[in-house]
Amino acid sequence: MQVNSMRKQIISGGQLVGIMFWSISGTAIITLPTLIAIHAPRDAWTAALFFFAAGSVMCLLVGALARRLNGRDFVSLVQQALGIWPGKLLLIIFLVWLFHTISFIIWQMGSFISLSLLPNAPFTAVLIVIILPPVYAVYKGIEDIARCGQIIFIPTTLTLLLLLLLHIPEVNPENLMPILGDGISNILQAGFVTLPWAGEIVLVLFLVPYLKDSRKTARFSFITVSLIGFGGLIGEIFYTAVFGPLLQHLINPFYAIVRYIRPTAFIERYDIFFVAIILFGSFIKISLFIYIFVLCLSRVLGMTSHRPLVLPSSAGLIVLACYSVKSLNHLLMHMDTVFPVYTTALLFGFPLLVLLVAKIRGIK
Amino acid sequence: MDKKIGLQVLILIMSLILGGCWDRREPENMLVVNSILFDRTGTENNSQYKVSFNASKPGTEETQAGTGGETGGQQGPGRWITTCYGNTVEEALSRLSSYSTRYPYLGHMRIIAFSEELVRGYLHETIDYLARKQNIRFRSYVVVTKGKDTLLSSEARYEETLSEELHSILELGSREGDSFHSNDLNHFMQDLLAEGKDPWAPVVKFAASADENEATTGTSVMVEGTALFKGEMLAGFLNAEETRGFLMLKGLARKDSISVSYDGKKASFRYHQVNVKREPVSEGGNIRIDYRVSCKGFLQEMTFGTSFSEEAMAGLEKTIAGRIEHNLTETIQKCQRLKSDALGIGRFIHATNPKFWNQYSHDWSEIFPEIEIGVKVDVEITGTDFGYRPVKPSE
Repeated sequence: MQVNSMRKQIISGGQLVGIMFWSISGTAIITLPTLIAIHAPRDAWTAALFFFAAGSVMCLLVGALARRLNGRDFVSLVQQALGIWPGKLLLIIFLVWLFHTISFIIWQMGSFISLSLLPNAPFTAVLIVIILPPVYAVYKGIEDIARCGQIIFIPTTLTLLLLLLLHIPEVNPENLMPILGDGISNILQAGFVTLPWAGEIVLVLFLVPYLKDSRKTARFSFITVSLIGFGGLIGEIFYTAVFGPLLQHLINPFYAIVRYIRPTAFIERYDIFFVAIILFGSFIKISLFIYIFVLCLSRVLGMTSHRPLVLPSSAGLIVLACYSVKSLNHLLMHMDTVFPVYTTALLFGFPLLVLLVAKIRGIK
Repeated sequence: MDKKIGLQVLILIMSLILGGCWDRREPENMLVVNSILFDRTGTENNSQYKVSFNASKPGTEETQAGTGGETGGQQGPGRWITTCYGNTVEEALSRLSSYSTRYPYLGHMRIIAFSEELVRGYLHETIDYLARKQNIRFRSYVVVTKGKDTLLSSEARYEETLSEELHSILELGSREGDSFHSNDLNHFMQDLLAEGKDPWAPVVKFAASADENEATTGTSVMVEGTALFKGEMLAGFLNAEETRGFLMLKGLARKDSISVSYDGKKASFRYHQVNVKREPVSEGGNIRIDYRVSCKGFLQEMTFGTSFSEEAMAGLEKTIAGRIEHNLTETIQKCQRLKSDALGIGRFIHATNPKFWNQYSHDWSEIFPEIEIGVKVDVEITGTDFGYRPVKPSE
């Protein structure tokens, strides 16, 4: 099946990096430091290396599959390689995972806003406010999401880096010692929880038909993974060096570190910078995830446009978000235990299976 | 046409949010807590938390007295001191709402004080509350109060409120001398949680005044010395001189004066640069810690003539180094006597010699008082400030 009416939308490599950066970091910045610190608070920085290694493998996989698309979209390739019905079945499993995961993402964002800004506001109202801008962006299409990502990317990443660098006087290197002192088992567990985020780079495959230079898909994916890996490494070093053993007890280390910045005569509170960045980042993440969900679903259902699916899907996501998570502790436990197992298996296994079958069947 | 309708819908949606959000809190409805004192009151079997606030009311011009509650009082225009009680910290704080006309806001709190009663067994409950409470900043300073109701019965002498005065002393005073050092909630909690490290905090007490009567009425406070903990329990106090040694060993010393007697005459040395190096030395299954401290500073006072020859200065430097060495050794011995590893020796061994630490960490509280800690001090006199020869009549 060829991409028809949506084909006119084009995004550049830089825009792809911008949206993928926030699509992965949007929740990673909130949840991942807590999950990593549960296992390896002192060697938390090693988790960034696991992320980078796993993400790089995923980039190679994405690159290999992108080369086989040849103008098709990924849904068509899956159905062609695996056969229509097995392909549809696998895509439906992926869609179920994606729908469920988006509900987690929306819940996390809602919980963050509830905790930091609106503790007394009804949670459903917060969720609706969170999802409305992405719904509009998804309705407009990938080019609009990409442009938003392009505008947001540089100011937000530079501000984040600056917020961390303001902590240089607080860094206590002794908190990082002894290196690898948390034990190999704990370090591996900490690395394991990052794999679902590394696997999310697979979403690039759905955007290849819109990419201006699709031959460089692997390169753009690798740039994204490198930037996130580097940011994660710096971030984790700062969390550990500033909070030491306290890191394991914090629900949101990045927010805590921003709140810990020494007040100056010029700016007393830096919290709002972080909250604004998270709002921008979550907008991109939710937009792209919903976009890929409705795009993939429309292709599976044989629809010509994703637009009729945007509103019903979003309404369903709010309902699911309200019922799928009981509390933040419940979500963290899920993300620490079950979530990495099935997500890693799906996100790494799905493209690998398609690539292997396509190779065996000689689909080019 | 579509654009016009879209614009109208947008204006309509925007007008809905003009009313403000669910969580809006007007500043004039807030009671901005500047400092908070956690205490325990009652008998051993029937004690409860006593939480006292030193707060200000934004938007208040006139003097307003605190009303209701167990105790409440005024400290000045728009200032409020009140105390509430409860079986838990949260219970005590929530009771405030039953008689306060304002919502207590803890986001601007600068001082967190623990009474001596509280730090004898109830610290972790309070700390856990502080770590969770949404608005509390880890940047708030932690102090231990010495004496009953020190903070409540004291008044500001130089600043508008006691909180501001205490904050200024902690912020600026610790830069000018080493008789105390501020410690914030983040570092205090880290030390409480870290293996091989115990927490410490500066001590707030009644100011010693030139007028003896004033001192006994306790009208003002001062910060001096350090409270040392063993785990969450208060182990004891270091006086001002011991605190100077403690800060030198921790690498936190900034500047202070040391008086020495040299050939029966007095001299004051003011250091402004202190470098500390620690080294673990393993010897036949035992470990020894060697401290090497180097101080640079000026001679601030000299009541004797000197040629400033190399030999004379070396003699003076040696005398000052000996004095500092003695001070540091006494401080270490006191920490060991109190069984409080606030110096972080255990954590240092853990960081530099994990194998040794894994072997002995479970008995660390017993090993620490016995461990050998050596101190070597080097002093370098880098000048005599703006004076050269002593100003004194010729003999």
